[in-house]
Amino acid sequence: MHGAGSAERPANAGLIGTIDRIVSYVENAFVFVAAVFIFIMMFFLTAEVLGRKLFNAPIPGAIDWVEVWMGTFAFLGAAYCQRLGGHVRMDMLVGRLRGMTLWWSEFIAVTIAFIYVVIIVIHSYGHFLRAINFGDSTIDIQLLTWPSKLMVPLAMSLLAVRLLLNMWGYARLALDPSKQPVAVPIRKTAEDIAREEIEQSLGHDADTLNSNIKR
Amino acid sequence: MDPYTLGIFSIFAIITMVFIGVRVAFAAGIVGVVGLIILRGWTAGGGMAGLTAHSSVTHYSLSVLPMFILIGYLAYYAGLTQGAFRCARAWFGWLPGGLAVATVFATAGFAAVSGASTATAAVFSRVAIPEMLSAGYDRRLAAGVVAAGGTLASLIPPSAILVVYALIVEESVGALLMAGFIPGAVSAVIYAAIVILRCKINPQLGRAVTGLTWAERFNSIPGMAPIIAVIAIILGGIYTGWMTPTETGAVGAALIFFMALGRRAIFGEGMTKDDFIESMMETGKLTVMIFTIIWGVLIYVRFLGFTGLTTAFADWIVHLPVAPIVVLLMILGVYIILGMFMDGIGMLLLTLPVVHPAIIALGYDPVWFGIIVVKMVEIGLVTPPIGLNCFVVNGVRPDIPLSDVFKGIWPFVVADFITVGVLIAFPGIVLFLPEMMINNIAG
Repeated sequence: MHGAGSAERPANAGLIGTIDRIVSYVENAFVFVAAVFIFIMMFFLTAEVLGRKLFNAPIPGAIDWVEVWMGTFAFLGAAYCQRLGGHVRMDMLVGRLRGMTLWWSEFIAVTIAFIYVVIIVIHSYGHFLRAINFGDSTIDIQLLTWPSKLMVPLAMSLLAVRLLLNMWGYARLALDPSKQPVAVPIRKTAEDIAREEIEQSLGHDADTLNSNIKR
Repeated sequence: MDPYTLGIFSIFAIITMVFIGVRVAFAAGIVGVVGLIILRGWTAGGGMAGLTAHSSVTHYSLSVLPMFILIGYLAYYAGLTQGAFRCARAWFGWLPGGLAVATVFATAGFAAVSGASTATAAVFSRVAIPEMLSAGYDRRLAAGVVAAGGTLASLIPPSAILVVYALIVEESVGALLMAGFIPGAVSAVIYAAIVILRCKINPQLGRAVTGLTWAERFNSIPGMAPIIAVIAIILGGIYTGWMTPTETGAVGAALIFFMALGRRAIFGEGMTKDDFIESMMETGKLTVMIFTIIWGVLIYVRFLGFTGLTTAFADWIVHLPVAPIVVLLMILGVYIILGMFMDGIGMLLLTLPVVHPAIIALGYDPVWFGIIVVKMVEIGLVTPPIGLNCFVVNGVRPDIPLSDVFKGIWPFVVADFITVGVLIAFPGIVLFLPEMMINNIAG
């Protein structure tokens, strides 16, 4: 189900298919870590509120902890989201393109994203290095900030790898549109998005319904 | 190139990229980074972008987003929908078009535990449409009321889109959330009024439910209790200043999580382990999607600040030889058109850096404007060609053709325009609660 939105990997996808599969595992692991921190934060803040209001015993530095954890869920899932075509975009024009024109325009779009992400990797790494060298810490309880700052270059590096795979996937299709799409997000129609939304809001109850929707 | 020209050029660059399909976060980000590097050099300019990526989003106030998103994903499993619909049916069923009126109020209630419009539409397509159809209701009315009712989730707290708006325009998240409540309720009342009026004129559309007893009404109230509890936590917590918005979200999410666990343990229905993991992964995905676009846009905003373009644009708008209301209506018109082609959060983030200073310069209240803009986004959610909520209703009920859903929605779109008109004429409806809250906390 997690593959929804990404191209189905055909059995004979070759090297690109293999790399796509390996990178996907890492992406899943990254977003899983992000999800775990969201879940921890839910309990942590609930405990903080109960402690503060009922026993007059707030957890020291709660805000500092939350801000440090935010590095995980703010960044780690970026590549996973890109694989599933989750980042917002406007389909008005691209939706009308077909064949080679479509794949070249997609190629250009991911190349632009790749350049951006690489610049961010370089400079966010610098930001992280400075935090380590100066021993930068949070205001209240002096938590070290470098682990949180490391999340940006780490997550963006994985996103760069994903975008590189996207570029490869699109270039492959642009050169030979008869090939089956591999390692690229498949453009979704409003019907597809609606199907996903239903799946997410109704969970397993939606399985029977989804078979009803026209592809 | 002087900074000012560079600024104008950057806007065209973003528009072009978004058109050719570059994802909004990356289009805004790369234009921002390249602009900063041109203006400040590789080390300082690029460094600024690298710093903005981390520092702009690891802010405590932003941590409310994953909490609200999580509440939305877990809400269905806690079994709150049936309870809400049963209660609304018992109390409002006697009205003309009673089941449709009940649907409006039940979606408004569910909106208080879910910040997602599409999720609300999906859930009520299952709960309310079957009952309306078996009672002989017009299927366009049944489908339309569910698609429209879903949009209430964006105004009634917890609402992710209002949080995003608050953060971009640097207003209090709490103030925006409070501001959304009454307009959300007003929207629901206007929807209900439209249903009643139409069913009164043409009783064939939907009849009143007969034979409802007072015992039934009072027995239905416990089913609403969890929703009332979440409303009390979120609105009460923020209003009294006892909890930060993030904390209300965390406590609300924990409550719903335990209700879903309890429902599974006691009744053996609802959330399975896979459902739970899926909800968490989806929460992670939606969270990072919003964060990526926020920091991408904020890098662009950094750059835009250096160009001086936003102040120049605001100056230009103020000195236009037309009344501010005309400018406002034009801006709203642009949002309606954009809303037809783009996701609401992306659209807001992309336009607000330029539009927001202009709106302030015109003398409008930014909190009030946030509510109006979100209402515009909601209209985009139900109008063709994208109209995602309509697709969702059609997805759950394939027996109701998409064309019928879109036809069913029109009376409610008219209702939305009436609501926007009312909110423009009487800004106090929006600002009343947040102002009272601020006085309350300050006093």
